[in-house]
Amino acid sequence: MPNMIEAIDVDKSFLSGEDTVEALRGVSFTVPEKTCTFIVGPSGSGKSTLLYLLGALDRPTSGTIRIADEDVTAMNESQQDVYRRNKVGFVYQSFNLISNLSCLDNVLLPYIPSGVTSELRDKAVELLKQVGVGNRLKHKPSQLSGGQQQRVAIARALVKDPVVILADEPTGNLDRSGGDAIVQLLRSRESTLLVVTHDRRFITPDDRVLEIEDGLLKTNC
Amino acid sequence: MMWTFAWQNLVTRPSRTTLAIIGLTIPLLAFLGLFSLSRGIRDLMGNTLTKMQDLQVIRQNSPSPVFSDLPSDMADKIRKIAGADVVAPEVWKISPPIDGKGGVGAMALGMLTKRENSLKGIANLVVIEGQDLPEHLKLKNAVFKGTLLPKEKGGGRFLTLEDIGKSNIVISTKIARDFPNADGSPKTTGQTMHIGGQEFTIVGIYETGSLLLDITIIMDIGVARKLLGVGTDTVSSIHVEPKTAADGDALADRIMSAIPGVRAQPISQFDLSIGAIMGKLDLFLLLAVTLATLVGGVGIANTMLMSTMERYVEFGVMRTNGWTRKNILILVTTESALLGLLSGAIGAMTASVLVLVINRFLNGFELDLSFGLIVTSFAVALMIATLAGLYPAWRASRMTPMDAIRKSGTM
Ligand SMILES: Nc1ncnc2c1ncn2[C@@H]1O[C@H](COP(=O)(O)OP(=O)(O)O)[C@@H](O)[C@H]1O
Ligand SMILES: [Mg+2]
Repeated sequence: MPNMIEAIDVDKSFLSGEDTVEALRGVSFTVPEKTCTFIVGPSGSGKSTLLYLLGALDRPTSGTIRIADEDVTAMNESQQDVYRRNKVGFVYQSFNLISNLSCLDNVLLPYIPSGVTSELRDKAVELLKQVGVGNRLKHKPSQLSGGQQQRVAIARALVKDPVVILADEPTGNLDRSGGDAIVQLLRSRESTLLVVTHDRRFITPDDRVLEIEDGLLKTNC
Repeated sequence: MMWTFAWQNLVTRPSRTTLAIIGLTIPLLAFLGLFSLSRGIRDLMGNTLTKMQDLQVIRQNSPSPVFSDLPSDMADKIRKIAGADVVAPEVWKISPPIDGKGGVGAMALGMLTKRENSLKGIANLVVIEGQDLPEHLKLKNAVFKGTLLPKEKGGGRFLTLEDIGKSNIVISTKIARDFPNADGSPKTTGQTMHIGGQEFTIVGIYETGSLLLDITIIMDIGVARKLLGVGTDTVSSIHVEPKTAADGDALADRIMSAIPGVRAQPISQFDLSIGAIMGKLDLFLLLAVTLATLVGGVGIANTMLMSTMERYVEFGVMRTNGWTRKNILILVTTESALLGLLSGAIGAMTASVLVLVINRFLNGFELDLSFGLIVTSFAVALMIATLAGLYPAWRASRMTPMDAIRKSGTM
């Protein structure tokens, strides 16, 4: 299987007042396409930082990240914008839906600036049906339960047919059965999936695991 | 889609949006109100007299020729003063009832009956000017002669020496309208009017555009004396034309020092001093209104800053979904521009309605809210609000998506 993600010697440090926090230290790994990878580790170990670098939300201090044969770390800002609009789907712990937009418009969020076509609208409706909130199209996020909001967020991540889906503790704000359903939904996609989690019960023998501690990659099994 | 999104962002915070709009609408209303008032005053004055260097001599403490009386022989005294060229005596009085309407009696009666009537009475006040025609026809700067309507528009002719002793009159278009024929059509030349029960023939129609002047009926001084009961020994005022226009002010001083108890002043002075006062007033209004508008703009900037800071995380989410900095900038600027448009629209509508209502209660004087004023206030509102939104928009567009997302609590 060809590699979808290739990280080479990635460092990321933050300036926090006088101190430098080294969130990632020499992280290298590969992820084959259409696999499911869990990123685990204690709080503050650098899991989110890694995920955000993969999503081009920020640049590493040094090192290279290649995704679908594109050097994410060498992109200029507008290339990053295009990459984020078309290639990565994000799912967050706190859902992060736009409160003033309906569920349907939240799914269409990436296309609001450029214009929403009727094909895109049909696709968004179809996705919302697939994730089980087809009857909540016109509702505002605040009118939905946490599990339903996360489903809308997944539909939003999927609408662009992303090459990778990056989920940062997507079950963190959900109860046990709600969390199970969300992970199942994410797995059901034919896409390369990376999930940060605290909960090892989601991990099956087929899955890949990246274990981070203190910015260092411990195992790559 | 951007517009609808921006719109949604405003309507989901209705009280904040309303307050920001009110903050900008109030100065706009002040702008529109004050300037339509100032325009109204200008309309009332007209510009007819502005260039008149001729002098008007009246009794010292009289507010206007209508309430002035001078001895007839004063004209000869003035002729002897150096620099005086044409000296034209005139008789001014409030008109007796015309076609059975109006006049002092009717006015008094109106005041006794209904307030509204009394206002109408004042608005429909007509005055008579009796001109010493041989002298008046020598004037180069006659007040009314130059404002006669063109022949093809029914202007007719001005009075001539032929009209001495004849019941011929020149009236304004306003009077022609205010005292119409039985079928409601305005009076035209050749038709007659009954003034104080006497029949007069209209030979000419003028229009100065000044509501202060267009209430005058002009006739021969002798005929006026008989109609108004003014003896040959008195006149109301004397129109004095200086030999050279530049000498006007000095001539006025010479007249006043030679003849005690009179006031001689350029006919234009009334207009000029009003013009100067209005100019200062406009400047003052502009200053006050500009300040108020800026405060309104600051209100909008504050509103937008608050609402963008609250949505910091949401902007981050938009960025992670491919929104560019420019997209965020446009969204926020659109929101504040919408606030400006709404303020402009509400201001213009409220002002239009208010001016309509207020003008119903005013008579003879009207607030003049021009289309240009409305367009200006609209443009000002849009500009101020857009500018006010630029800083919040710039701030919102500059955050790094990573920081914003971390704020959402997924650390
Ligand atoms: N913007 C930042 N400024 C300073 N330190 C940061 C910043 N972002 C993250 N960090 C630090 O980097 C480390 C890794 O953070 P994070 O990736 O969020 O960990 P995790 O997701 O594994 O809990 C933490 O010590 C955190 O405090
Ligand atoms: Mg984290």
